Amino acid sequence: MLSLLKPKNETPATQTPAPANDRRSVAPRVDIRETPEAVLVVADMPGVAADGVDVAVHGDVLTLRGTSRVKEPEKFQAIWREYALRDYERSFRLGHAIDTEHIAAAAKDGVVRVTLPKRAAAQPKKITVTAE
Amino acid sequence: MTTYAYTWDPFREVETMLAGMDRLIDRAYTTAGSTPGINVYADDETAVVTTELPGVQPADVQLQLHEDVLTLGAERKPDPATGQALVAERASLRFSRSVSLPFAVDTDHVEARLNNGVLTVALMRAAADRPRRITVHAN
Repeated sequence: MLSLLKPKNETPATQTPAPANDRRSVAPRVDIRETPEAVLVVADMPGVAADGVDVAVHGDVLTLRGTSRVKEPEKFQAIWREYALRDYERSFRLGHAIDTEHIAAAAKDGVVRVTLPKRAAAQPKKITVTAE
Repeated sequence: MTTYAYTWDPFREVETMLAGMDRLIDRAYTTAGSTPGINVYADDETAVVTTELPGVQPADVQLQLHEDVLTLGAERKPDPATGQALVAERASLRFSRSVSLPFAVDTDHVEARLNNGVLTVALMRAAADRPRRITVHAN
């Protein structure tokens, strides 16, 4: 089942056209877990609230985007900078088993969770054995 | 023939350089792993320290102030492990780091907020450390 959902081996950051706020997008780190019913993608997207999450499916590619709410503090001078403010984007190739109509996403504390339910046909079926 | 305890190894040099480049590229293309970066902003009276702590609860953030050094630490509690892990890139987040502030701050006026996984700490410059304006009177 490992081929069910694989991160594509590419760096979306370099391919993303500059967004309106001309911030760069980076690929967030993700954890992917699989249960018999669904695949769960957990992405670190600090600064992103629920309204900044965008999940799109084109063909068999799922694209997860996050727009950060964080802005540079106004009237302040940056005197030490280890990270740049950025948005997030990453694409994943979906297997046939995913029910793309029922994908759900939630954001909390800068972590985005996308639940990809499997089609009924792809879920393991339990066969009850009856004694005669 | 003399033998040295430490001999210069060009391969080691290359490995060190490659590791450094990996870290740089990592920082540029993805979110922080176990140790997040810290930004410090300031004007004449206020310093603002920010860092990215996705998934960290306020109770798991430690802030300590000693003169003009702010030490911040955090720990992310792991998610309940459901199902089988296919990809695990989100390293366990646990660190403690210190940053120097541009001036001595008033320890009674510190405000820290954790919003959407971003920690913002605002610190006021200590009254004794503020530049004082001296009025010049004409005779």
